[in-house]
Order: sequence, then C-alpha cells, then structure tokens
Amino acid sequence: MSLFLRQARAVFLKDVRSEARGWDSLLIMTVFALLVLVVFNFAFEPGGDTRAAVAPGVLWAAFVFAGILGLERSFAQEREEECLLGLLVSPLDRGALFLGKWAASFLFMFAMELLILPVFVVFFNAPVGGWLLGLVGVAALGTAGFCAAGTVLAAVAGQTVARHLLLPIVLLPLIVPVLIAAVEATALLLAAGMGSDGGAAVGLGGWLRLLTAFAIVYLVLGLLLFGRAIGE
Amino acid sequence: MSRKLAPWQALASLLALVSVAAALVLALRWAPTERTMGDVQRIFYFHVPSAWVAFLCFFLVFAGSVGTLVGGRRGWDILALSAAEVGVLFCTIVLVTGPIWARPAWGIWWTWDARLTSTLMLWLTYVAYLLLRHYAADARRRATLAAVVGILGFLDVPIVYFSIRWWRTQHPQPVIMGGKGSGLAPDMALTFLVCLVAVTLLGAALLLQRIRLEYLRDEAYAADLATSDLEADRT
Amino acid sequence: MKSGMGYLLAAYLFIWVALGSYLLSLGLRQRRAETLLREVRDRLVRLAGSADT
Repeated sequence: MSLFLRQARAVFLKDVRSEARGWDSLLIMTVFALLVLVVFNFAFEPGGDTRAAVAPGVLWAAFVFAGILGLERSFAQEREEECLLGLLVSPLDRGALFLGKWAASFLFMFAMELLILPVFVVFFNAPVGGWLLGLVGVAALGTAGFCAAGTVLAAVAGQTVARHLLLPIVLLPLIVPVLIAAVEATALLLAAGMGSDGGAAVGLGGWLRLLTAFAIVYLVLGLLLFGRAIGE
Repeated sequence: MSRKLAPWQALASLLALVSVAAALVLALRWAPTERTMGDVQRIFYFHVPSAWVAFLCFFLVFAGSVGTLVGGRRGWDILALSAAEVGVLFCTIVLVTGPIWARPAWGIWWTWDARLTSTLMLWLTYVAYLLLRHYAADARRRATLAAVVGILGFLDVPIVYFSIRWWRTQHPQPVIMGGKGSGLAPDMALTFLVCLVAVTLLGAALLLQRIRLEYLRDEAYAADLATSDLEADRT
Repeated sequence: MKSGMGYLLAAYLFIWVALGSYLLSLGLRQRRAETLLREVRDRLVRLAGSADT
C-alpha cells in the first residue's frame, strides 16, 4: 500500500480508536436523529397520506442534522488535546489526513443511519423489502459526499469564534444537492417498495449519478484544500 | 493603494450617477407600459440587472479566493471580501424586489421554482461566507479560511443549480418572472440595456469604494500597531 | 393599475433603502478608520515632541 494510503489508514484508525473509547459521537448522533424523527412526526398531521409523502424528507433531515453534530467530533477532540498542532508539525500528507478523517466521519455517520433505518421503518410503517437495500446504497453515497464537504468545513468552522453555530450555516447551503438527490431517490425507492409504480424506480439513475458526482467533486476539493484549511 | 484607486472610483461613481439617472428616467417614464402586468413590470428593469451584478460579484469572490490561496497577497483577499458584500447587497435586492413584483403580477409572493430557489441558495452561501469572515478567530487565518469557503461555494453553484432544476422538473411549480425569452419590445429592450449598464456601473462604483475602504483600514491598523510599538519602546 | 403603482414604489423604495444603508455603513466605517489615522498621527507627534526634550 502506498505511503499516502497507509497514512490515511493510520489517521482513520486513530479516530476510530478514540471514538471507541466511549462511542460518544455515535450515541449523540443516533439519539439526536431519533429525536428529529419524533419532532417531525409531531410537526405534521397524523394522517396517513401526509406521512408517506414527507417520510423521505424527514429521514434525510434527521440524517443531515445529526450528521452535523458528528462532524464536530472530528475536530473537537484535536482542539481539546492540542493534537492538531502535533499533526501539523508531523510530515503527514495533508491529503492523507483529510482522507483518514473523512473515512472515520463516514463510518460513524453511516453507522448512525443503519441504526436509524429500522426506527424509520417502524415510525412510518414502511414496507420491508428489497428497496431498503437500495436505500442503504443511497445513504452511503449521500453520506460520502456530505462527509467530504463536512470534513473540510468542520476544519474551517473550527477556527471561528462561534464554531458550533457556524458549521451548519456554512455547510447546509453547499450540501443542498445531496439533500435534494437523496430525498428524491429515497422517495422513488419507497414508492417502488410500496409497489405504487410497478416496482421500478424510474429516474433513480439520475439522482444516483448526481450523488456520486457530488461525492467525487468534494473528495477531490477536500484533498486539494484541506491543507490550507487547517493552516498551511 | 487607497489613493491610487481614488480616481478610478471617482470615475466609476460619476458614470454610475449619470447612467442610473438615465436608467430611472427610461425605466419609470419612457418605457412603454406592459400590457398584462401594467406598471409593476418596471421592477424588472432593475431586478434582472441586479441578479447579473450579484453573480458577477460572486465570480469575483471566487477569483479573489483563488488568488489568495495561490499568491497570498492581501489585494486578492480584499477583492474577495468586497465583492462578497456588494454581491450579497444586490442579491438581497433581487430576492426582495422579486416577490414584490410577483405578488401583483402572478398572485403569489414566492414559488420554489428553479431560478428563485437557486438565487436564494446563492444568497445563503455568501451570507455564510460573510459570517465566517466576521467570526474568524484569528485575523491572519481569516483570509485563507474565507478563501476555502469562497472556492467551495462558487464551484458548488452549478451543482446546486442543476440539482434544483432537476428537482423542479420532477415536481413542477408555477414559474414566475418568465425569462428573457418572453420577448421584449424594442423600446423595452433598450431600456433594459441601459439599466443593465447602469446597475453594473453602480456595482463597480460600490465595489471600488469598499476596496478603498479596506486598504484604508489596513493602513490605519498598521499605523496604530507600529505607533503602539514605538510608545512601548519609549516607556 | 393603481395597486400596481404601490408595489412599484415599494420595490424602488426598497432598492434605495438598501443602497443607502450600505453607503451609510461604508461611510461610518470610513470615518472610524480616518479617526484612527488621525489619532495615530497625534500620538506620533507627541512621541516626536517628547524625543526632542
């Protein structure tokens, strides 16, 4: 494995190990996502029709808001233990640092999503079927892009005075394409799962391509810009 | 630098003043009244050019951000922050005059159509940029941090626009403010052109003013710092 | 269209208010910078004065 990938893996493992000491971030993300699902259910009419229509949006609102909490974890630790300085001084490739952090953020956010999906199925009385696997795929793609943008911006926002408040403000406008594509894809899959459109999710390909493109663009931008973002 | 730009700013301001005066006369009196919408349609003459100027400014933010990361000279950062302020100003004008025009003309204040939604996202992106600059903890890092966001934000614009457009073809909404394709009578086209030039010149004048202000502030802060050092040495 | 005129006026009024507010903000910030420069100049003069004595 190249030096670059080995460094990325080392960063990834370090982040995973430190999270594994208490699973704080995963716990908070999951509970918060759960709360968002609950709050939104109060926000909408308890009628059955509306529920099915808003389900995809509610799910992704929960993922996005919880995901933002998770992104903060990525740098909150470094700041508290002043590890960031240590990382900067080391000859670690900045791109590898980004990749490692991205991978860790992705892992935890995806894990949260897998935990929330069963709850989602229950709350919205969604059918259990093959479409859920498709949803897992959509979640993975969306989370990849979200975390790519989020890792860079968490580093940037972390250097501001109002860091917890600024990350959502800067990140949310940028990830709107992910939100749109993910919600649309989820809606198509859900409709297919409920059998209401003959089992075929027409148009899904386009949204998946958009999610993939976004993820690739932001991974590349992240690799290029992360070094400058943390202080070169 | 502030002094070097002074004549340019004076020129731009003068041209802006003259052209805006002409534009106002044309837009409010000379241009024919639109058949279906009536006088409200005259908002269009400043609404659309404002959108154009805002977008131009946001491109300058991108250019300034790239310049900051590549070269590192303060001038690029000043360009970025100034263009962001002026851009947000004009974008705000677009987002407020739009609904004011839409309500009497099409009966609704707002629609989440592709153009309006994209403009709103643009506004949110650069307001976030300005907030980031405002809350940056370290003034030396501010330029770099803002540059990163400036680049990400601008490169995101086409992605955001296309995703919203796609989204809208799936769930069509009423489209208001029919585009330029709706055909303009020659008198209206001339008025529009004059207004476009006027608003662009106005934007340029404001931009130059903001840039000069920032150079002035740099000068003042540097002088303050240097003098404090001298005073400290003396005591 | 009478009601149309009201909206037209409102729109143009807003544009002037927005532009005016920004120019005001620019002016205020300019004044603050100039005041700082003047204050610095005074301090330098005082320093130069005390150096001679």
